[in-house]
Formats: sequence, structure tokens, C-alpha cells
Amino acid sequence: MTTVSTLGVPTTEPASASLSPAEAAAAMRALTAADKTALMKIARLYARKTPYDHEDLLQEALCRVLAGARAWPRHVAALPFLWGVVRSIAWEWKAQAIERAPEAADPQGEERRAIAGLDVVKIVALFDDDPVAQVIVRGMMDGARGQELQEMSGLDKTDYESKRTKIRRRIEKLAP
Amino acid sequence: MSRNPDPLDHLADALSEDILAAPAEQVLAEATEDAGDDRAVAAAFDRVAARAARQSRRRRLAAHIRALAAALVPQRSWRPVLATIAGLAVIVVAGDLYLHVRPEPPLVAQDPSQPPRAPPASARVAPSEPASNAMPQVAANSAPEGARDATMSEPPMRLRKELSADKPSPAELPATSARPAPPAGAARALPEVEAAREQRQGRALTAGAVAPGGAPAPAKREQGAAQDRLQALLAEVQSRADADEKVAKPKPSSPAAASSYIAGPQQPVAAPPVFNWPLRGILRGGFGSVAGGASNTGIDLAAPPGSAVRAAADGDVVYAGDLAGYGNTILLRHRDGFVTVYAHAGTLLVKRNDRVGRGQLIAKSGRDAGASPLHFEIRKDAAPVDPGQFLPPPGEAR
Repeated sequence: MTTVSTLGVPTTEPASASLSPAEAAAAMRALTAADKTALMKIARLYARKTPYDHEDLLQEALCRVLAGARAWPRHVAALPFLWGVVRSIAWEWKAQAIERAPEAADPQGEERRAIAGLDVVKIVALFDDDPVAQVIVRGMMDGARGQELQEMSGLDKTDYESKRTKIRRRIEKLAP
Repeated sequence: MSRNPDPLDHLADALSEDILAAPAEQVLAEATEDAGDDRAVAAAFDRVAARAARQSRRRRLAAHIRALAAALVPQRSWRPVLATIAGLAVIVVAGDLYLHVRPEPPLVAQDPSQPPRAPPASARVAPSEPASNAMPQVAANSAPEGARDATMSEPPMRLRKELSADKPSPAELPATSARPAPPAGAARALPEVEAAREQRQGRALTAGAVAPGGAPAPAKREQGAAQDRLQALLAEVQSRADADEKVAKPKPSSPAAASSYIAGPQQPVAAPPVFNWPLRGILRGGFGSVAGGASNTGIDLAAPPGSAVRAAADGDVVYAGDLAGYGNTILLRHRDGFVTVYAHAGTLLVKRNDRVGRGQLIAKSGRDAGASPLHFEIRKDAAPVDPGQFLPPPGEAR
């Protein structure tokens, strides 16, 4: 029986809970230039602390999806799903890199934490000229989101969103 | 986001949310600001996606072959092993008897003053040459690698390094495929029969030398341990198949029979199967060609839709059906551990367990054969080998 999936891809099998590799490939082909650009930006953000670069990270994510190693729930849109895949692979790679660097050489992980701290300091220092942005960045690093962050900044919604865009652009331009 | 307490991860999460929430026009404007072109980043994504698609196909094929190999492995038994040992013992004893019974050759067969004999036509095919040399006519028709996939580019960083390491250097290729020097004892010989035997042995050794160690097997390194397991499984399958063949062969029961087993031209000395071109078409990608970081483990042949796809050699159909990422695919198992793969075919005309002969029509090329040419591989003990070593020059039928 031929059915049509939610992506408009004809399939000869009944619709399952997740997309088939062919449907996943079709969904990727349907991504717009803006979607692709957004995914590259996201991959660049998460690749920052992995041993590989953002294209490697994105390639691995797409490969796993196309190979069927990552189930793509039918109700999840492309960008959030691929974002999640990129994020989980970045975490996985970071964990592997930590495992490969034996703790014996760095018993307390202090060196690692110090390097991470340097990155944090470097990013926070980017906004030395903008105390409000610095507050927002620190809040982001602590896991604060949305309304909470806006209240921390003391800005109205429009100014807050504008500030967040400026923050993001400045961090994106920071060399990885 | 309590999964990871790293502040930079929290920051990446927050910024990713912003990116996803940003309007498309803004994202494209930022791309223009960063790269000078709003499509530049998307084009880079397309290149990455193309590489990912090829990589995923390889992974799925490897997984499928692994599953297939597991299904093909019969129940464990010592009988094939014992039969193999017995067969080898018979060969050793018979060879020993032959060497003791055979009279000394009266003369040195080849007069040193005579010019060396020209190699036979099959030797002039030069199977040890790289595919590009062995198939000049086809190579002339093939599109350049860059044109084959216009969206491909050099792979980045470590992946690029790993993939380039997979591709054997030009210096390695002749070494792995070069024919071995004739044995020292060959100088004293002998009539035509002896020369023919040496040729066959040389050819068999060439084929054997390619497979396990020297083969340009990019997938092997890339897939790492998984590929090693695959190799082991397929090697086990093949060794069992070989053992079965030896059990089925008549064993020489007398010195005379043993002598003829060793030296007789009619004896089945292990020579690799003779392969034919599976499709009459244009070579779109050669073995080992690197496109966008992926090394081709076979060759790609483009032909008009509905063209005949024929069995490259006698064999058994071990798989015929749709293979994820490879489309309609046929796997033929041949003797001596060879398996041929016909992927992206159109209509399949054989089914599993069918016995096919060399040149038999097994499929028709697909409707999109121009975009997805027939992908043909020859594998020896599960390792891909250069089909150029086994196929005749283009246009020459066997």
C-alpha cells in the first residue's frame, strides 16, 4: 500500500513513529538555505570544545541520521531534531576526548577546568564594554533562560532581544 | 539543560535557541556579512551533507554485509576444518611423491641465446597496473572527479587526513598488485605445460596478495573494529566455503594421479575467477577515486536506462533486493572467496540462491542510471579489490 508521509514522500510501508532513512534524506533536501546556515552556525557553537571542527560534527550528525542510527520522530521538525543530534554528538566526543586523556596526567582535572575557565573568561571579556550584555552572558552560562534572563538584564523585550542578537553575533565572530 | 554543567554548553544551548528563533532573512543576512554570500554557508552544508550521505551508505552496506555474513555462516562444525587438513596432507604427500618419482629434466628448456618468450595475451592485459592504465578507453570517457560531484570539496581537518591516509599512495599500488617473481626452480624448466602452470600460479598469487593485507581497503580503516569483525566473519565464511570445495574435489589416490594433480594442465590449480564487465557503459568513477573525502570501493558505470547488467562471473546469488542506500542490489558469491556487488541496479532478474553463469543477464540498469550509475565492486574475502585487475580491457570480451 502506498502512503504519503508527513513530508510528502511516498512510501510503500505504513507510517511508523520515526522517519525512514529515505524520508530523512528527503527532509534534509528540503532544508532551506537559512536552515542550512543555521545548522552550520549551531555546529560551530558545539564543535568549539570537541577535537573536531564544525563540519566534521555536522557530517557525523547527518551521517547517523541517514544511516538510521538516530531515530527521527515523525512529529519533530528538522531543525530542532538535527540540533539535538549535533549537541549529543558533541557531548559524546567531548566525553571521549576526556576518556582518552587519562586522569593520571591531570589527577584533579584542574588543567582541563582551567582551560575551560579561560574560554569562559575570554567570552565574558568580550563584553567588558557592555555590562548588560555581560550579565546576560553570565546568566546564559549559568543555565538561565527566557524571562529570567530578561529580568536579570533589566531591559524590555525589544531591547533584550536586540541585545541577545548582538551577543550571539559577537560570540560567533570569535575565532573557534 | 542539567545534563552537562559546563557553562560553555549552557551558552551554546542558549545561542542555538536564538539561532533557531531568528528569521530566515536575518540568518541569511548574517551569512552574507560573514562569508560575503548568503548562499556560501548553505553550499558548505551541501558539501557536508554529500559526504555524510556517502559515509552513511558505506556504514549501512557494512552493517548489511555483516548481517548477511552472520546469516551465511553455517553451524559450527569441525568437519570442514578436518577435511581441509586432510586435503592439505594429501597434497603434501602427493607432491613429495611426485618430486621423488619424477625423472630429472633432461635439458634446460630455454636457450639463453634465445630472446625471452613474449607474454601471452592475458598477461598483456597487465592486471597489476592501476585501473586508470588498465582501462584507457573508458577512462577517457569518464568525467573528471570534480565534475562528477560538483558540490564536493576537500574534506576538513582530521577527517580529510584520515581519508587521505586511506587512499594508497601511488607507490603502494604497484607493490601490492605486482606479480611475484617466478620461483627459482622455474629456470630449469620446462615444456609448455610448466609455463602455463607458472602463469596460473603467478596470477593466483597476485589475486591472493591483493586481498587481505595489501588491498586498498579504505573502509576497513574507517570502520575500524566493525570492519575488522566484518573481515573476520567473511573470512570465516570463505574458509568454510573453500573447505567445502576441497572436500568435494576428487583426491589423487596414486603417485601418477598426484603428479598430474601438480603438473597437469587440466588440474584445477587455484586461479581466480575470470570476470567480465557487468555493464556496457561509461566509467563514472574509478576504484579508489576520492570524491569529497570518500574513497570509492568499486567502480561506477553509467549506461542508458534498461541496459543489460550481466554476471561478471559464474556464481551464486547470495542477495538480491533493495539495500538501504544502495538501491536494488545483487551480491554474487564466486569461488575462491570472491564476491561481486551490483548496486543501484534497476529491475532485478534473479533471486537469492539462484545459480548464474558468467555473462548471464541478472538485472537491467535503473531509470536514473545517469545520476546513480551502477556501482560494481569485486571483493576478495570481504575486502574490496581493484576491479581493474580482474576485468579485461574495455571492449575486449572474454
